[in-house]
Amino acid sequence: MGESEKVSAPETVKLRIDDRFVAVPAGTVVLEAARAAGITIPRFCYHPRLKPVAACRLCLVEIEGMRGLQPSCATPVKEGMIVRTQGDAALESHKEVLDHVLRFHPLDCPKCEATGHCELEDFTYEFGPHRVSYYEPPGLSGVDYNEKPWSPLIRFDRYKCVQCTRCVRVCAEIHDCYALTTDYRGHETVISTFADGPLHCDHCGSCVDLCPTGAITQEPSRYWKKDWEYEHRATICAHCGHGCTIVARTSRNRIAKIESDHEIGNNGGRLCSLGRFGFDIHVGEERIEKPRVRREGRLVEVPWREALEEAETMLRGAKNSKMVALASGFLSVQDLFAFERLAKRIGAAKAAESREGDVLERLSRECGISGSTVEFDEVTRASGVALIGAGAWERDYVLTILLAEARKERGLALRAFGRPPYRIARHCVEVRELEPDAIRALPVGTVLIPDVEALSEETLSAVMEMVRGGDYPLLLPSAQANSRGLGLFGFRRSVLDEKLSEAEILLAAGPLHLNARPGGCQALIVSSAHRTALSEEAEIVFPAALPYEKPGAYLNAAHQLQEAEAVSRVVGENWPDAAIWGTLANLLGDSLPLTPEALLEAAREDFPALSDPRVRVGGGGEEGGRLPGAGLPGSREHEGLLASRSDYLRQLREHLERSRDFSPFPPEEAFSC
Amino acid sequence: MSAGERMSREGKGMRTPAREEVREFLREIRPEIEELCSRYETRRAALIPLLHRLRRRFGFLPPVVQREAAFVLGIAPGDVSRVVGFYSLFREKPCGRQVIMVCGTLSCALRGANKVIETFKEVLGVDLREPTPDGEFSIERVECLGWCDKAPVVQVNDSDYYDNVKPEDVAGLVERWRKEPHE
Ligand code: SF4
Ligand code: SF4
Ligand code: SF4
Ligand code: FES
Ligand code: FES
Repeated sequence: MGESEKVSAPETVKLRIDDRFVAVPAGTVVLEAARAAGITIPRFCYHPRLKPVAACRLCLVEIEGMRGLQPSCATPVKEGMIVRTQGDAALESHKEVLDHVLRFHPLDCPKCEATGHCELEDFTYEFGPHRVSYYEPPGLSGVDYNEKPWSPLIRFDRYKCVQCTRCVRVCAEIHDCYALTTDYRGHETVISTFADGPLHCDHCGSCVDLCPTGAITQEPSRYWKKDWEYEHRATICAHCGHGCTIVARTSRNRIAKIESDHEIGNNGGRLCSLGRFGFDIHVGEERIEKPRVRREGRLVEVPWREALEEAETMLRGAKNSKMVALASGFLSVQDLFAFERLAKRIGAAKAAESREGDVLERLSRECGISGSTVEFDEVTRASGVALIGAGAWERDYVLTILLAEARKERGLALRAFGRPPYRIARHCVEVRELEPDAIRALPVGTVLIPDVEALSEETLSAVMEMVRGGDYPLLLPSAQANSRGLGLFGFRRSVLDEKLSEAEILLAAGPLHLNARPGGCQALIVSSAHRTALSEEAEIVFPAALPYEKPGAYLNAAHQLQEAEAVSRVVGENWPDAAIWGTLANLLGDSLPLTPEALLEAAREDFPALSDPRVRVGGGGEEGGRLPGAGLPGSREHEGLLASRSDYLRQLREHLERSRDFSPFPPEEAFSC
Repeated sequence: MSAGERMSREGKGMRTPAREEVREFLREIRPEIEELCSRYETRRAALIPLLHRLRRRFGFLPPVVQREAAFVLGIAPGDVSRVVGFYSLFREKPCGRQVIMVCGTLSCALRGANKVIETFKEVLGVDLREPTPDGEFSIERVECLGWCDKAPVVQVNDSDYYDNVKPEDVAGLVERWRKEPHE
């Protein structure tokens, strides 16, 4: 791809910091070198995810041979450097800066959300001053210092802000959203939204993660528990096929909030609003908590054994019926594998609402590859990327912002085919109509990101041709957490289109768009976490566990097999789909092991391609036409089958609707002027 | 002076323009904006001259004006509000057609600027940054105007300065400015 891919081993630089000798790669800043040596240098404006700006002056240290104190956050190490962090001058300067910051800090730590993970608290405790030399009430300059919700989900308490501008910078540099800014100047500088209005933004929550104090916090978890009382549980987000790593902060097996950790996962700390706030899907009246079976026309709650036995009898007696097994891309590998085994045993056709499986099948047949040929980070290092069709920019928010960042940082040449919104178009060197010939003319080496769900036959063929030639890397975005797994197990949209109308028995697993039972269907067996139009028409309804409630593996758009943890307690008597369909398969004579580990093991035996996700595997399917995208506000992001259950995301949607006039991006018509 | 600008004298500074009005004006001066942009490497660089143009037309720069200005230059509204907030000559809130800026920095403060400000408030019957009911005046305390040896100093609108202003001069000045308003 890139011509400039010179791989040279990073040079190591040796230096002394206080009494320790450290060896770090060249280019490391002194502050990081100190951290590697276990020495804390206080800092506010520095954050490893951001470019150093050396603005707050809290991190000053002495460096031999340099005049005056130096900002350790922006000074690269040099061979033989001698750094002193404990000298009087440095210690005195830390105190002075903190004293200045504390001049109007409320010190209401006992009722502050950030207590226990506040950098101001920690640095003040360790470095002083332990008595503030003067106090100036905030708001003298007429700036509104009152705390206020920026939105139903994010809150800003201006008087706790230390003006490090990390929030402003993460929003612009990384999330490409530009929703935050500074206002006024000098010691009156404040952080602000545009016109100090409501926060109209992606709600990725990165500003909350990066804020060193309690100035920006998540509203839903306010006044629940102190930070140290929550457990940290890293897991995989189940809202889309990027498969971001999230850190669930839980208390007594309930999720209070989702945070991110830039040191783990494929997302480097980035999340979208779904991953950040779409965790409250387990609550609500619509939740199904007990198995239900149709008796005299009505669905009545029954014990598990009764429901399972009824399903068993039904399936045994239906040997010669036309059966369809329809699965969702939100199910884990274990769930899908158990469902697949059951389908095989009873001879049901494997269907999916997504076209992804069919595309994968064509890819393997025509091009000899079986999915994405590059990973996310390889895409961002490419010389060019082409987004082909709306799903290419609507489906995977994190991928989209990674591309924007790569464009700004490395000059990645981005091209879009179709009608991208301004946010995408402004980064493109070229925007064209979706035409096969235009796509064929792309420079060699361009990574193709096609909308697997909605491309016309012609366009898809053009993509196939180019990929077959070997000159164009391919990344297939997937809309649901395990769309790729669904494909791997052979669930197809074409099967759905062909077989659904004549299905006599339909098994429907997981969140689906299908909302009415097909005409000729005599028996409908559904597993679902929530009541849906389909579940209410079923003969048998199994209450299913949600992603946060069960362990499971998910295969993402870049063919990474990632394992998720159960981070939240199961509501009601719900079982994971793996247990539901696995038990049913076993009742019908199979012998599936029913622990997540054993199921994954068995799935790997049956589908060897799962063992090494880097091996591109053939076959497979996903989900249907109107797919959710974890996209930008205003796109289809909130149509997600899981996300639509979240009350927080509903509040966000309403808030964004109300605050349109504060959007950092223009409505399309503004561009005609 | 274009029709747009003459029209503005009555409403200027007092009324928040409608979005359509702002867009209309931007359309009208589009060639001028493009010419401005062509002088710099980035469109962003044309922001300050554009804001001055908008300020002369609308008197103050409410969010609706800032946002449309941002979109014409292809930058974020927050980048505009940051600049508007930084410079005291750009105002986000309604102001008088004549803005009386009294220096409150050290030399002027020592020579009685506070008393001058209080007197302006009394004579006009309004608080700081609050336009008079007829929209003619508003008063502001500003930082050093660079004429410290003639403190206290008062500036009105873009380029008229008054030095050695005493509280007892205030009533007379206001009367004079009513008769011969500053541009
Ligand atoms: S939550 Fe909003 S303001 Fe904060 S970083 Fe994300 S996009 Fe920007
Ligand atoms: S709100 Fe937080 S992150 Fe933003 S400048 Fe203030 S302290 Fe820093
Ligand atoms: S981009 Fe996808 S995986 Fe990442 S947080 Fe959003 S929905 Fe979850
Ligand atoms: S952390 Fe180094 S100057 Fe702010
Ligand atoms: S202090 Fe008032 S003009 Fe300088």
